[in-house]
Amino acid sequence: MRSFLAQGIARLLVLGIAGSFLAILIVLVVVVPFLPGYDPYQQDIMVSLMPPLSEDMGRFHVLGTDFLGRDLLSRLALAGRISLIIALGAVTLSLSIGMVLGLIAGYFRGWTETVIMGIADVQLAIPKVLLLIAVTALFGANLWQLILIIGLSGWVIYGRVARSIALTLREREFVLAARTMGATTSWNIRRHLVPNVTSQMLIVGSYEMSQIILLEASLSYLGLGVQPPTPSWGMMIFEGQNDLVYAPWLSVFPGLALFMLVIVIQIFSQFFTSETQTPR
Amino acid sequence: MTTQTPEHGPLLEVRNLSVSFPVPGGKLLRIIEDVSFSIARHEVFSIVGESGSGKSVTMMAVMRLLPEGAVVTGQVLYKGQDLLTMQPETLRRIRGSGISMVFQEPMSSLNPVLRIGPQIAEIIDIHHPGQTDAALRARVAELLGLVGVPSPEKRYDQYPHEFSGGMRQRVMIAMAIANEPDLIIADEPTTALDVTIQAQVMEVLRDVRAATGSSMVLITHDLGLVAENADRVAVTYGGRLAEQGQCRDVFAHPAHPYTVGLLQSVPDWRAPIDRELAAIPGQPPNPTNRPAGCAFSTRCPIARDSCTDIRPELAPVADDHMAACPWTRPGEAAMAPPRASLPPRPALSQAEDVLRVDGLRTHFALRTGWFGPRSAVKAVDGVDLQLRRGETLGIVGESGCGKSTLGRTILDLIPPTEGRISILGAPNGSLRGRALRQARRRLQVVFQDPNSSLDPQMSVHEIVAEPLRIHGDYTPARVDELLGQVGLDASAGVRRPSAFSGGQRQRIAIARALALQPDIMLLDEAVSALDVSIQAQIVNLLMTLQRDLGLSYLFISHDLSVVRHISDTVAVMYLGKIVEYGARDDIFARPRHPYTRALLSAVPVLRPEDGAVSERVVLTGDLPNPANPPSGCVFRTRCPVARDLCAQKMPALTGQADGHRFACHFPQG
Repeated sequence: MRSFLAQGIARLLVLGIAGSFLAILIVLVVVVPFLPGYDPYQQDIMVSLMPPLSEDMGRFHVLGTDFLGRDLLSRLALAGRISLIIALGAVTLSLSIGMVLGLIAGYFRGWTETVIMGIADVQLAIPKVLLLIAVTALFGANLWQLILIIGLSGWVIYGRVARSIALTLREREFVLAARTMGATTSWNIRRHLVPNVTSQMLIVGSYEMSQIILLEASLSYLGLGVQPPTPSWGMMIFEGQNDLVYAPWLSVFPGLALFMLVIVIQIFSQFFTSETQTPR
Repeated sequence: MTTQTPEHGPLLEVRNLSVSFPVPGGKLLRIIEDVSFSIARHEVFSIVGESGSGKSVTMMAVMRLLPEGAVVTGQVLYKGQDLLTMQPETLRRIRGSGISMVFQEPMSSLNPVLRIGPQIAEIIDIHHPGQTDAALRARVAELLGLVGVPSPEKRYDQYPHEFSGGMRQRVMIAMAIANEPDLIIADEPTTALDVTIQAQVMEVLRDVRAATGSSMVLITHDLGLVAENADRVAVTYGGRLAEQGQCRDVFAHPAHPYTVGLLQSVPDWRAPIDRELAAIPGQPPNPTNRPAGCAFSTRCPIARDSCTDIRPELAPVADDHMAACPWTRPGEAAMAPPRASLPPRPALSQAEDVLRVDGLRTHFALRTGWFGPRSAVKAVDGVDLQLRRGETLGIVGESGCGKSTLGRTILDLIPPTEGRISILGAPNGSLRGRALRQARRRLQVVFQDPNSSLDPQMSVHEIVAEPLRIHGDYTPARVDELLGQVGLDASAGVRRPSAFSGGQRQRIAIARALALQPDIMLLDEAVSALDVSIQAQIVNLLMTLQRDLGLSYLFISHDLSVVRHISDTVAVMYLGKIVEYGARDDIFARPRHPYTRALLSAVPVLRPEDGAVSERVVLTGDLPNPANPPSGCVFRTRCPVARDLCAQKMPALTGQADGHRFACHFPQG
């Protein structure tokens, strides 16, 4: 009884923390950009590297400024949007590709499966960061290219999960029964396979999302992510690292935002998983 | 063995045992209510009930094996000591040495990465440490011999995957008796096994009890097994005991209306086929919606108003016979409603064939490794059959005999290796694309597992609508009509399958199969996963639908009693071949093939006088590996009458003018 109550309280506490993180992040990326008078690109060398909560000629820098005197809070907000767009876009792309290819491989078996999973194995054998460095070095990187590249390179995990689920689903009696009713292959994939892998795909997607945000951060560090002056959280962390000793806020705040976002995604995806598990 | 308690008084006494589990929301859900019984030395005590009645939970509570959080009250006295309040260390000494358990799943009860011998030796070593390896090995070999494992010395060093299901269950029994316990708790010990293997395992259990003098608790849903093995029986319903007493008293003169209904639900080997089975109406209660009074009151034919409020106590109705119903006396079976007779059917002899199967073979290619030799599993190996309009053809056999593969080949889910399947005169392979999909409407299927045959993401309405949508015939009214046809309310449509019990889900699957107005329904173990009282409802529904709609059934099952009740014609399969084929009465009353005779005699019967075959034939050994079948007659390795000829020549399926055919050089009877 008591352990049950304690479990409930712990659950509420975790959800509460994640919820307040989420609220902070929403305010940051949705509300902050609409505050008048703060342009994330506006440089002012006179006010460079001001610590948080400082004021200069009526302009209040809540999180301080960077070495070019840009307001850190507004840069953080813009960077958050960029990071989220990249993560969501890339996840959507790789999820769709992976789900379709995985379901096809698992449902058809035979040489189709051999080819698709062979490609997946080859792609998996190439280190992802290395691949991304090569591609961005060749074609350069703007926001949309970055989404495309990360999205295309990330389908393998979705493909593998979707394939393994499809392998069991194709033998499930409701799929067999549909075949005896005269259902076509595309009917079975649309009506039975897709709805039954969606929740697993979303779970994988939420874990991947935090990975992608971190991946984009490392790419930006190497100068291969989004290009300055467009900020992303990863880039801000690495821009700030040279001044870490005397201006720690430059790295600490984007790091904190990144940390909160990853926590929020993880907690809510776990909550989502446990709430939507359908009994079968 | 080690305790010094005197040799009188019950061995195990359970007093007012209640078990509750926490549920989300912080509440406690009562699973077992106020259960009391006692088990004497050397007796076999059976706890019988349907799924969810709490029979397994009761014994798990006795052994204190329930998960953390379960609240157990009452007393469990083993030789006068309360197991529930005992120190964990004392309890540990009793587990495995005083009381031991045999579980249902021999596949998951053994550790797959440890050799068999050391797994058994470990149990002895825990309770009697300090023995030499040689002594342990000798003892384990002795135990394996005792439970009938051939060449125990060699088997000692093998892994669990090298043992068949029946052999693994023997190993579990060897582990259970390793320390000569006073009490063996066997929880559905043979449910996962085939009937001929079940007969072997029950014989082993009888032998080891005779050798060790231990008592046994037999937890099962199989009333025949209880009738043949138990001295005393307790019937559970809705987490309470409905009735308990001497087994022959309870079965001959049941006092509780539930026991009466349960016993009547079992297909009777003597009952004429034109009668419905006596099903218990309604659905079993689950712990969340149990009535405050008698749990059975919602389904009881003699319930009075007070039954739903006042909980009846277990009270004596005769000497050593108690029932929890104040309104009945033992033997008052007359209260069961008279069984409706089914409307007559047109004579089958004139009917056209709706399905013909000729020389069908389905082989699966098998290759060990990339460069290993090619071989084939001959899952179906030369099967001919005909199904007439309005007829039910039962296909029986044990697991691995190829009956399900046969069904799936006929459904065109697996390509045949050879042979012809004609549905309504159109042979397989002659159709493609749209025409093939249209042809498939003629043959629909209901599978065994109602959990797996309904898409969990779809509503019931969508599930039944699916075949109609595929063919563009969907109207909401048609779906409601179909639901009505199988006894469900149209309002059931909005819910998901998970909201329904097993029997109701099977009704949904039947409604879906009916949607395309097929001529033939393939019922692949369609009632095998259901409790007996629900099974009777579904069998009745199927038989009524057959008469109303003129359906032909291909009824694949391992359950001989049900096959006997529902079938006109029966085919017995063994290792991919039909070994005997004939009218129902030919197969059940005058079986000629030794396998059919063994199969029939292995079925535990509720009323021993009903047995079609008087002497029991217990087959030795296991089903041979289908990838490497024996030469000549495939059954000869287990056949009690096999001779030299059988190893050389496969007997053809030939027979008599009346259509009764059998594949045996030396037919019996």
